[in-house]
Amino acid sequence: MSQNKTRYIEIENISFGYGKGPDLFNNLSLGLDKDEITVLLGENGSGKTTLAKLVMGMLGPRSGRIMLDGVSVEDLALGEVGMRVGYLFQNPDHQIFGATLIDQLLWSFEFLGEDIDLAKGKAEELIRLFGLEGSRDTYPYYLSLGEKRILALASVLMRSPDYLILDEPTSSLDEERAGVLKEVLKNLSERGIGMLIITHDYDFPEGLAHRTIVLSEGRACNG
Amino acid sequence: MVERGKLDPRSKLFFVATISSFAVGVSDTRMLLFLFILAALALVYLGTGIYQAVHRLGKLIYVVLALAIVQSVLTDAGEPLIRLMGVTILTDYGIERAAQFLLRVSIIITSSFLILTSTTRDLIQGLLQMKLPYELVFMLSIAAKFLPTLRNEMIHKVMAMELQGIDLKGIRMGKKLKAYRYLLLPVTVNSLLKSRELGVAMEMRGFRAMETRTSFRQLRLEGKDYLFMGATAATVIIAYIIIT
Ligand SMILES: Nc1ncnc2c1ncn2[C@@H]1O[C@H](COP(=O)(O)OP(=O)(O)OP(=O)(O)O)[C@@H](O)[C@H]1O
Ligand SMILES: [Mg+2]
Repeated sequence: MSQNKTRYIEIENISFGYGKGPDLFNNLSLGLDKDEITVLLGENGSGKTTLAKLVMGMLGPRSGRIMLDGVSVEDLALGEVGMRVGYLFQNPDHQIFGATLIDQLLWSFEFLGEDIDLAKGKAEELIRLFGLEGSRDTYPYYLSLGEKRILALASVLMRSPDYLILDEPTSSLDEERAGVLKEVLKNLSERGIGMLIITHDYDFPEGLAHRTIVLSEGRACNG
Repeated sequence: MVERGKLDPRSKLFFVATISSFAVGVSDTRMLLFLFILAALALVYLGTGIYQAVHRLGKLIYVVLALAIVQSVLTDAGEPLIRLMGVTILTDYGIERAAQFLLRVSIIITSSFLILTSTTRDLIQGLLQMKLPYELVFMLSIAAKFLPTLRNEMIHKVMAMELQGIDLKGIRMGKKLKAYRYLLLPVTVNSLLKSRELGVAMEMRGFRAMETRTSFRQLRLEGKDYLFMGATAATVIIAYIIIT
């Protein structure tokens, strides 16, 4: 056990429940590192998405804390977390803003006055990588669910995060797209980008995951 | 005694309609205050929404303050209370107008919370029995059910935006409009797409297949409802005569 080493993301004894409801987690601790791909499994409603939102700072724990690179997530603005950790929402609609494919990938760069030429190059690369050329002229709202998910993921990757939290990335993807995704993730991992992959797909993590964790009754167990 | 929250929704609608139309019609601050107290009492008596109502009103305080100043600066009436470099900033008239505005809005919000103490289902049935067309009532109920979904979607979208480094609160006005366009356009289009699907689903289940529609459950106005409506009307009219 590497108890002394601090991990990139440290979830320390957190408890959380929605509103006045009962605890969904009680004293949950988990460390996540940049040099590994962790797969998070668990039944529907076991709290996987909730845990991801807690790590992103979208929800605050009742007690305990979550450290990101040595800083408590609660002390960071969402933007600061988002620049380091890319989060693919379970529902891709939440992340789609643009009126076209290119607009979706570039609008935040334009909006924030960031280097647009650099971003354009990156966008083209991602479009090619994920085979999105055919969807260039479709309004993103009309894309199929799987296409939306890929587009949302491409938007997340535009920001070159250090770590990725992917909430069911393969759900509604066809086999070919899932294969491409796996290759992309493998590549990113080799470049030192860590990942937490939430999934119900038992085949996808084959040959990708370094460890598997099962969330059950508010506890994280090694699977 | 009236059982809490168990009044017929039509009685509550009557109360809201009476109180609100007086609130809009009268311009006497004391009468407005009286109406507000009445609405608050009814709310305390019938439900638990009072805290939410107060919370909602708390957010209005800046609007009221701004209104008091605008009314003071733009009209000649009233005694000046605060003057700055020869310009009247605040007058008693301005304060009174702002107070009246606050009371009117408070009355309408507080009394609307009263309606929420009925279940949506009862409300729909009540409206139907008031001979409102079913299509209209159904649309209202769908809209009411859509709201939480819409709210959830907005909350997530705003957070997704913030994660991209765009903080809606911290940006300039001109850019804010642009950000809101990126926020609202997809939500609107998605709502339209969803409602189109809903329409198809409804027709598949025989919506409007028959000319007439009957309901299994019927609401009946009882003694306590007549008592409540009568008391409301009497109290408001008597108070109006005495105060003005
Ligand atoms: N905003 C909310 N308010 C109240 N309860 C919620 C909220 N969001 C989720 N829950 C509840 O919390 C529990 C965990 O939800 P969560 O979405 O984290 O599950 P999950 O493990 O991601 O499930 P799935 O595999 O279906 O995606 C569920 O029982 C859900 O009903
Ligand atoms: Mg989930």
